[in-house]
Amino acid sequence: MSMGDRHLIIAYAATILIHLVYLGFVAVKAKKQAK
Amino acid sequence: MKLWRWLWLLVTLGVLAEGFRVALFVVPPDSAQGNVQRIFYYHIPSWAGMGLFFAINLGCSLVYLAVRNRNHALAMKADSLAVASAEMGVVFCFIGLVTGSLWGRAVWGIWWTWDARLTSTLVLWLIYVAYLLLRRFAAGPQMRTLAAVMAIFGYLDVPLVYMSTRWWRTQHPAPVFGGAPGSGIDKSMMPAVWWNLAGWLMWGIFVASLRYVSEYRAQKAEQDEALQSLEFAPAPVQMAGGR
Repeated sequence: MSMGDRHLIIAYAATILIHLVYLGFVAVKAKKQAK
Repeated sequence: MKLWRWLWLLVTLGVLAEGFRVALFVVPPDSAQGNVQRIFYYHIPSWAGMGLFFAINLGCSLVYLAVRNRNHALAMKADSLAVASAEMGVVFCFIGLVTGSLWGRAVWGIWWTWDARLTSTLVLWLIYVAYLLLRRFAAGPQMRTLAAVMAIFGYLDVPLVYMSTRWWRTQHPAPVFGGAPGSGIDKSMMPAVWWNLAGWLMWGIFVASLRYVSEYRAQKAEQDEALQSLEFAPAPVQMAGGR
């Protein structure tokens, strides 16, 4: 696996990870509001 | 990785971080949906990204078909960019479907419904997944031509997805931007839209550029190998005629 391919896998993983973190924050805020 | 790409990444991460902060902690919650509506700020950029990258894929596929027999270098570049943009478009489409489904569960009480917008979008995603599978597993010289033709037919679903909430009654809400008079969101919420739209499009361009380089190098190596094998191929044996 080349360095470019490794960068690409990290980039795709980061894309998903940032979305998961954001959605996690939204879920926490929504739950707090519902209480 | 080249210096300009590092700089682009640095600026992109800054824009994404600001978009993250503004969307979560600065703009007010929606008066009807509350904090759940904040999904919107990540939902919209994914559709914008999908639209942009599928359009690039279409353009590159057309260029490839037009020049493949005349300008091999340009054709290879166009084909590499077509793969890179299709892959990024598929990722954005997938994120749009998932964030939409989560939002639907919170607001409508259901994960999924077979309305025109959702169904046409799922079909679009499947078409481009099929395009990538074709490129991955088909072999032979006609594969790239077939993929380019498939991309052109696949893109026909994009306007259908875009117009679906205008042409049919759907569970999905009517267009927020450019919809009926009075549509849109409050001005105080717009910074979150702009920051995230800019950040995710810049991120998409960055990732697609990585993929483009990787694909172009692979195709170039494949071509060089083919040329080399032709060079070293044994000369054809000539049969001498005898009495």
